[in-house]
Amino acid sequence: MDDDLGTIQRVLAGEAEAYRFLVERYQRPVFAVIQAVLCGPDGAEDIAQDVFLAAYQNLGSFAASRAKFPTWLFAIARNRCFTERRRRARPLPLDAVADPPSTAGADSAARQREVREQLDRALDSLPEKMRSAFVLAELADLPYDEIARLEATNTGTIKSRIFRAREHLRGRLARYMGEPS
Amino acid sequence: VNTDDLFNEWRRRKREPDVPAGFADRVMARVRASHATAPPRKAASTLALHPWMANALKAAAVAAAAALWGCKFFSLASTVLAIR
Repeated sequence: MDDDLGTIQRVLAGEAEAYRFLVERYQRPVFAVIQAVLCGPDGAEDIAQDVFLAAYQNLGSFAASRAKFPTWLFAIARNRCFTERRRRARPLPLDAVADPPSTAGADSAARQREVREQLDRALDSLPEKMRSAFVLAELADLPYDEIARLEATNTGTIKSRIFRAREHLRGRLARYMGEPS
Repeated sequence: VNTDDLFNEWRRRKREPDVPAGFADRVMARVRASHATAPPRKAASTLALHPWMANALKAAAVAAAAALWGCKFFSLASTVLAIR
């Protein structure tokens, strides 16, 4: 993280090329957050570019005493994604019914792809706050206290949201697999 | 394959998405264009405090105000008593 602060100081001193270090360091988790919130790669690159550009343009207002750089960056990504989601469509209801497996004898790869699609749909159906907490914790590795600060709530609430999100996803998967949830 | 394994495999894939080739180059092209017109500047110095520091400062300010009012009250009361 010290590397981040040193890089930010160089960028603010006028060395724009130094910003590449931050782009390359965080591009994968930023894509993970964006694709998880948007439920797929469609439009993810445009949003990821916007996120990194917005972070660059607002780098002067970044305060290291308030948040770590990745937390600040993921907050920009999360906000941008939810704006895009609201623009695109309404989310699915939380307990939308899962389709049953297509064929009992389907090959393993196809079956696993179906399972991933089911989980993607289950993630897509989560309420915004639950999805945000789950994505930031499980896919972006943010600690609970930082997510709590970002979501303007307490750590207990964040833990509860993540727990309920996991339960929902596992339950959906278990129902799909025909297991008791 | 049990559901835990499937869930963990799904999560692992979500954590490691493919990043389009040349993504960083395209971002840096936009960054350079932005830098040419409006380079980022450090915001004017502001007092950046941790939330617990801000809360402690607020509590101290409230306590100081209460103490001040308390002193005023006792001062007034002793003056009234002295006059009587």
